[in-house]
Amino acid sequence: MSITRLIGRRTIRSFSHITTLLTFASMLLRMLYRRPGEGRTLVRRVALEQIYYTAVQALFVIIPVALIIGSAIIIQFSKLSGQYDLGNIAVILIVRELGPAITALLIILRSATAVTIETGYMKVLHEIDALEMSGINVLWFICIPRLVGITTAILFLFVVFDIVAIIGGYAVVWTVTYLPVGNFLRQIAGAITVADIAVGLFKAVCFGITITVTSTYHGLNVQKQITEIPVAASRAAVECFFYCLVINVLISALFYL
Amino acid sequence: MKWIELEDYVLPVSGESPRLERFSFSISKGDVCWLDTGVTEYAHLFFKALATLAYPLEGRYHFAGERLDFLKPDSILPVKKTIGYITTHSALISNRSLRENLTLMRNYADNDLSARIDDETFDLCRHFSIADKIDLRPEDLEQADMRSAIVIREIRKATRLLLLEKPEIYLGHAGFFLYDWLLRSLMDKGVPVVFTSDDKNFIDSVSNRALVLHDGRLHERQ
Repeated sequence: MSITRLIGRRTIRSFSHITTLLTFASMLLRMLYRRPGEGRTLVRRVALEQIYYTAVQALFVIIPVALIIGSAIIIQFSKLSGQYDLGNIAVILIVRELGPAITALLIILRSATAVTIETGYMKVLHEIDALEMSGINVLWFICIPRLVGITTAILFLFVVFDIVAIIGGYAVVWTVTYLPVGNFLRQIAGAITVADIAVGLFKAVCFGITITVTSTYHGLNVQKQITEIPVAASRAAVECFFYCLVINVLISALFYL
Repeated sequence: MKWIELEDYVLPVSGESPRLERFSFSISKGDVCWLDTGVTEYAHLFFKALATLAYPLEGRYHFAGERLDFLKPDSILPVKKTIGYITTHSALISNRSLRENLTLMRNYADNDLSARIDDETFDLCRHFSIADKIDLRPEDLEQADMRSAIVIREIRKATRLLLLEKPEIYLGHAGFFLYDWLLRSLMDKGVPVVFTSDDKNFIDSVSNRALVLHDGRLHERQ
């Protein structure tokens, strides 16, 4: 097979895969908008459980990670910038870029893989069939609570990450530099705009949708063999991370260029 | 009146095996069909077609006179929940207790989170000796207990079609007497049944039709 044909075939396959994911995403968003009457109470309960697993339990991971990353950035840039514009740099890097990206990465590692594995097992063990035979809409009962839970969790963790990373930076400034802390906080207050927060939240929503759609799609796409599950989980994690990076760059380019 | 009718059915959609040749099949109230097949996979695929779990590449499915639209899966859900599906492919939801499994359908349909099991279902749990295990999850249960719970769940539906895979061994010898009694009470009400079995006594005593499914070809034995 010639290299051109190989590239062409791979491009068509990737394009087809992305259009399938977009179709799946539109189905989920339409269902979320429509909110069928049946099963609302159950779906709400499963969504709350998902928020607990994805947001509350992840706090013990995201807080130390945010502290470490916030401190590292402040240490490096206090040397580089001679402590001038440190607040600006903290805002640009943490709130605009690293906050949403690191939060998404943690959610992918902790929850997206878990969702793919769980739905994959449900498929192989015929539990999805059992739900359908009970008259339960699988998209509504399985995917929507995860969409709501994961998106809410990313929004919440993104805010926590930003606050902790900046407070971590504050602690570093206080202990290792001569920069007056009041000055640092003034710089941050001056640098951060409503647009920064809005764009960060927008990124978080886009990441939430992307991660849920990709992970549930791969889980539900498992067919018969249990050995398909680790492959699906691995593909889902890599794809989620790649799509989140691309979306991050696109949104940054759209709002900040 | 034909209760269920599959016309010019071809499945599965993709090039998977096993594959059923184009077939037509209908069943009326009071029909009890024994499906004679040497290969379990064919029986599973046929059951999945009847249960609307396997979507056809071609063909039409009429349920109680209504044609099902497989392009609108939501519209098929009300049909699915009236089909009792008791095969080795039937499952319980593993991250929910037995109680939650038995109330899930009602909780979903009625938007009600009550964990109360109705008296009739609880009586069945007692008869099948799973009443004291009702708050355990499937992973903590023996296979026979899980299958008993599946039988209860499926029989307690407003069943309009029953699909059974080897009822004589599904619950083991100990559970068969009760299971057999439950099935016969449903058959007496005219619920159409399609089943596989190797037990000649059971076949002779309940069936009034025989289907043969060999090498993907379905035909009726006269």
